[in-house]
Amino acid sequence: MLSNKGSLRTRLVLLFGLVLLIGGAFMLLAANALAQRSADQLYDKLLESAALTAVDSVSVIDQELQFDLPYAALATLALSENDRVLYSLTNHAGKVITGYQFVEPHDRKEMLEQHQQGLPYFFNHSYQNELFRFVILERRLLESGMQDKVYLQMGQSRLARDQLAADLTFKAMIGLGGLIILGWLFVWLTSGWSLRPLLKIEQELACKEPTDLTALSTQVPAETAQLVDAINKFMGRLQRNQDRNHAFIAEAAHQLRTPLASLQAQAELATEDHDIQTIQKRTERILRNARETNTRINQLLNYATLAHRADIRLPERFILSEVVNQVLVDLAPIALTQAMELSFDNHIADTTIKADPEAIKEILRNLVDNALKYGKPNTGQGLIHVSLNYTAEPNCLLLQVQDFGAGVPADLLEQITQRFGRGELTHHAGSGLGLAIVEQLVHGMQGRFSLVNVAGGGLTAQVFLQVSV
Amino acid sequence: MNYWRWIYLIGLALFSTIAQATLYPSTRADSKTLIIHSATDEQAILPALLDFQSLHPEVSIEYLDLGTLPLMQRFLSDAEQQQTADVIISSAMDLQIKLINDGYAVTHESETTQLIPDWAKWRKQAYSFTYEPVVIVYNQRLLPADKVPKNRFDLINLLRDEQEFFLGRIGTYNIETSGLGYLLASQDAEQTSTWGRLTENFSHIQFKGYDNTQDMLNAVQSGELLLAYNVLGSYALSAMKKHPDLAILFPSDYTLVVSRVAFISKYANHPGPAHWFMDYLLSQRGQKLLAEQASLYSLHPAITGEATYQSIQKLSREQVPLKVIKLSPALLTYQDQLKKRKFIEEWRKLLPNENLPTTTR
Repeated sequence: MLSNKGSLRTRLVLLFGLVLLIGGAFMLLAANALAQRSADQLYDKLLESAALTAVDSVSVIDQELQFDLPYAALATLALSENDRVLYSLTNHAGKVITGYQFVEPHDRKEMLEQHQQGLPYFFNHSYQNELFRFVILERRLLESGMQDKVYLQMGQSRLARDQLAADLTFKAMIGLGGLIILGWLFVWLTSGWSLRPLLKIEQELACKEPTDLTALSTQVPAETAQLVDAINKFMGRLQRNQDRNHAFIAEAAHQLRTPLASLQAQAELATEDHDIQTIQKRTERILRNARETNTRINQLLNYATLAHRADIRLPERFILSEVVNQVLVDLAPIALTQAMELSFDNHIADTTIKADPEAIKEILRNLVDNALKYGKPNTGQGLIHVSLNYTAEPNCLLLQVQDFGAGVPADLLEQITQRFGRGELTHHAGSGLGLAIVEQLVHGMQGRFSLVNVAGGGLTAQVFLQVSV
Repeated sequence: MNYWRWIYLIGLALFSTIAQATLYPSTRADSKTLIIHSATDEQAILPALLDFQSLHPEVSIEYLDLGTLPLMQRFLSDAEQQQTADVIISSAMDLQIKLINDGYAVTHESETTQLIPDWAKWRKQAYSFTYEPVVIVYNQRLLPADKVPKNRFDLINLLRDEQEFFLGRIGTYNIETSGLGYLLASQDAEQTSTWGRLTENFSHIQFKGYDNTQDMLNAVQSGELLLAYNVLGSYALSAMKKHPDLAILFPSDYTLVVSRVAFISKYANHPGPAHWFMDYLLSQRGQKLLAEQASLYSLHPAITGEATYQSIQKLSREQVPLKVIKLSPALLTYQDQLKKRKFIEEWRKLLPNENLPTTTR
């Protein structure tokens, strides 16, 4: 059962939304800081110009300080409608000449530095529990007989500034919000759009006939190509499996039909015969045929169960040479009846492998069986040579079964090998099911199987086995 | 220093402290009190007080009428004790602005205040509720038609040419003792050359200074004065209705428009009724009543009649430019200590030594 892990689209939208929101929050903070700064810059100019207008009317007449606060100074500040204003004119000693009380700046040193460069000094300060923005201008009185400085302070509450900053921030927020929503919508739409190939694959799979295991034809983007590839490979395996099953059924039918027909014919003839000796001969033949058929059926069943076993049997660890030896011992009497000799060369000592020992036994049994049947030389005593060797490849062992018979014609060998490579099982002349079973088992163990004609006659069956560490 | 002036100022201060407030008690047992200190003639505003009380019968009103300067002094000394009147009303807009700028007011906001134009409110604390032209009042029985000025230039020429005729018979506010007078003079002084020539001629004919409108109107009506300069149009209109000798003219060079400004004190003991009263003053009902029964030119643009915003606007369409004094911290300029001192010093130079205002009130 597939468990539902939520929608890809929802995931994308949530993730992207989160990114957008976090990004948006940062941008909003930045926008707010910028808005504050812009508002301050703007209103600082206003404040400075009011202060300049005021300080301009400081004069010295008859060695006496004169100051006539111009209407324009406070009228300039009144441009920010609801803000309170404070101003004062103080002399060098800090005595207030006119206006409100002097509000001490935070940093006198900084103020002096600013004033030395002829610049105004701005600062924020709380007055009567309300935050004000202040500017202090310095004016040197250079008229005859006076060497004094006066300070003009102008202050204004921050309502208009804060309002402007809030307005700017609000506008930025609207823009950002719109962008976030747009971005979200975009992801929502594009995620749907880019997930469409998956839907197409789904549709194509849904529409396929159960027997149609051909590759998917849907054109998909690179990202989903792997998925399609995997599906196609899986279907390829299914196809091969199916082919194999079909071949097996055909093979089984074929293998059984002939002996059964022969059995039937013999039996029919036997019923017509009256001569007891002839009947006895026929009965013997029937018996022989029946035995042969029995062997075939056993082989077929073995094949079917082994093919199944390779899929599910858990491999175990065992000494390979012991298993080989045991099989050869079992087969030795049969070989003897056919005037064949078995020899075994073990070059790998007690190396263990991790595999299904039953499969190894079956492989060896079939190969030896095959050699017994076809590997008999035309003259003299037959020999079947079994050997275990290391190969040049690490973790790879070679199991060889060599006979000294006629071998297989080159074109047929090629045909057989090709078929093995494709994992197909076909009944090729005289080979019976044995090699097919071997091929099937070796394939199941991720090994390799090949047949090689030996120079000077004879065939070598080679099984390369992976030693899993 | 002039001893008489000192005696006068001390007398004024004493008078302001002993001035008695009028109590308009509520008929309810569980009454709330509302204390109003106002530089507004009590008889003029009385209909509005009674109408407000009919809307809020549970409120007892304590009303104290003071001149603009004593009102400010009283408020500041009360504020030191952190116990002041609830609502402060004055037409000395600059003094009101100064009190609010110095943080003595609380915010008043309601649906009604949203309809008030921007120039008539400040910081949602100060609200103008009248729109009163500042006029010239003359005695039409005594002043021949050919000697009636149309504007300040006419007046300057008249005073110069007919010095003997006008000698001692022109009156205006004493800016030293009237906050409103100071505001009006400082606004006039922005037209520097006109103001200089006008005051110079005032000085030549030995004008008389007054610290309130009512005395000035009485003097014109009695014939003691031929003409009074810078008189509040609202009081003049009321007086004119009673005394047919009186006539009003709106100076055609420009007519000042001044407002009565109300705010609620930070130290108000009865903020609830104070907010109700503010809303009442600014409401259409209150404005209509002020216009019709008190002749206090109301600000509400929807009200028609003689003493209304509409009539003043009509005046301005008839070629009399208005100079509306707006509620803004720019009004603080003439409250600058140095500037004020200088302005008053120059004023004193105009006054003849024997010309002391009478303290009758």
